[in-house]
Amino acid sequence: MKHSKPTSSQPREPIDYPLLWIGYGLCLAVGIPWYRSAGTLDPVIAGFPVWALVSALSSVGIAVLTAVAVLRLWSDEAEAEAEPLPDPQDDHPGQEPEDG
Amino acid sequence: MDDLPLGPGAMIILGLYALSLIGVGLWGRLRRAEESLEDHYLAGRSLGLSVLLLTLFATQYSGNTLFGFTGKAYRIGFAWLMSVHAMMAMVVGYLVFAPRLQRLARKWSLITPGDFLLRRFGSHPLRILATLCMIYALANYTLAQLKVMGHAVTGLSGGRIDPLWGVVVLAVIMVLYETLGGMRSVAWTDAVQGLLLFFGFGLLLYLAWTNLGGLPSATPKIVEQAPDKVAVPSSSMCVYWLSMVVLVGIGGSVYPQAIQRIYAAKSGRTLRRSLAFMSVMPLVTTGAVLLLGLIAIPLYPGLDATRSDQVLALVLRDVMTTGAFGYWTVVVLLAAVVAALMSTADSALLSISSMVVRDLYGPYLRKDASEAHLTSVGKIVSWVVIALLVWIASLEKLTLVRLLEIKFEVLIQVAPALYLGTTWKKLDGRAVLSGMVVGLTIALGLWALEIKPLGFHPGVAGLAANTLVTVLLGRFSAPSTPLAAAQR
Repeated sequence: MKHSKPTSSQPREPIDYPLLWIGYGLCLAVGIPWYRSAGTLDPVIAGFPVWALVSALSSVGIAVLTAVAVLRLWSDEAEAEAEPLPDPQDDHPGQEPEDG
Repeated sequence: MDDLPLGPGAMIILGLYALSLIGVGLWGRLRRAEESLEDHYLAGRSLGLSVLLLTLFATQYSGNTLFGFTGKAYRIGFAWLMSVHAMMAMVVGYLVFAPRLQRLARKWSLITPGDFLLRRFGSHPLRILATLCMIYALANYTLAQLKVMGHAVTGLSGGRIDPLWGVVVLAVIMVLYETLGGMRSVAWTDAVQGLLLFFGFGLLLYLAWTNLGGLPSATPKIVEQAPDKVAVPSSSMCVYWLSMVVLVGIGGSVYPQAIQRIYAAKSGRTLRRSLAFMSVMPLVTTGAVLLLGLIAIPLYPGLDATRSDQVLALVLRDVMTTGAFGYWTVVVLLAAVVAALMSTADSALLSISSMVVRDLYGPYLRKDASEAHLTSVGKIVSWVVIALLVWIASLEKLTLVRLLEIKFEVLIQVAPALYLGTTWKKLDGRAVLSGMVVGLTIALGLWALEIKPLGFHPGVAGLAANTLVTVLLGRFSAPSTPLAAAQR
């Protein structure tokens, strides 16, 4: 189930990049205000209390990460070079894929 | 929505829209290449960029969601920022399995999610169980759209059209163009209503901001009236926030009609670009709905839970009185809401039809049926299902109302099969099936007993158990596929 960094001959997919998913985790961890004291009334900036502004910015961060992931980390070459999953209807040994 | 002061002009708009749908249906019929499941349900895998991104957008955002989300923002305040995270999480979820699934869809000629499960795992019980879960979730989803559709039509007609007749007429139009043109018609109507919705909400937000006062003037008043809606949320709300992101993000990413749009993309490049567009849409649409709900808090104080769901209608009423521009903006927006409801319902209905014929009827009742026969049966299924759902939607007292609440809780249990099935090469179908059974049992059991373990939704708890069982059994059991057996 592990995904190692793809080589130049393998298709690239967003799931192959651990840093991307760490980034998502950090955005969500910052966006949900679990680390703040409940009930606190923050100063208001442009109509948003500060904690909500941080949350909104974390959403922007998630959007940016996703756009980068689909446009930069997902290769078109994958269509031609995809390593197949095992097909229960395939009776040809020797096509056993690497451990994933 | 029923008592907005709209005149005949709104009816004309609605009538023109309905006629245009029939036209799209006929066009879709003329464009069909063959009488096959791939052509009817996936438009021959030919959806280009503009149509794909707009149909993905329209599929994700329903009119009912928009009304409900505004009400939720009104009730809980700034914490409803969780809705933006949740809608984004759906797109993030696609990144896990969509790249590989899109390639496999062409290689294995996949029509439904059940097709993938059978080809990948070789398990008929798994395919049947997953298909039944997805059909249930989509029927539930369609029912919710139908219930709101009637009231939206009544509102547009200024009370002249009864909600039941509104639902019946729109449902007939919907099934008609879907039967005529399949996915082509559905995708093109999605594209039109997606544009309507996008611009309509942009206009509404502009008018609400300029005429009703924007968020900077609303927030100090909210602090006075309901400070808890502005203050840092409680720990239980934070848990609910995380649970919502997981439930909607993972559950929503495995909507069968969204998966079939992944299948229907013209190419991987088309799909990628569509998803790039989808990644920023929650900031615009869900963000706009959140802002409207917040602005409404000081304008309409003291609404109870039931009336707060109609707060968007109150905003529309006030925007209408700002002048001719406001009036026509509301008319266009209401038409867009009706269109959004229909596009959500028709996408779900088409998907239900495909799963019934491809995953249940075809393989187990008529193994020798031709593609033309299956396509014809699929169209009949659409008519039967919509008639049944319209009847259920018309019931005055829906005693099964609690069953409507558990759409995502059931649907999310299919996620491990897709997420892990596309990424874990040696995962066995028996492990996946066991996990799904355990997950469903726990999710439904907790939901029936109204228990939220540690504050998480029952479906999320079920997903955790589902994933744990799948991973443990997958690690420690040998694959039973013919390929693995040949290698032992």
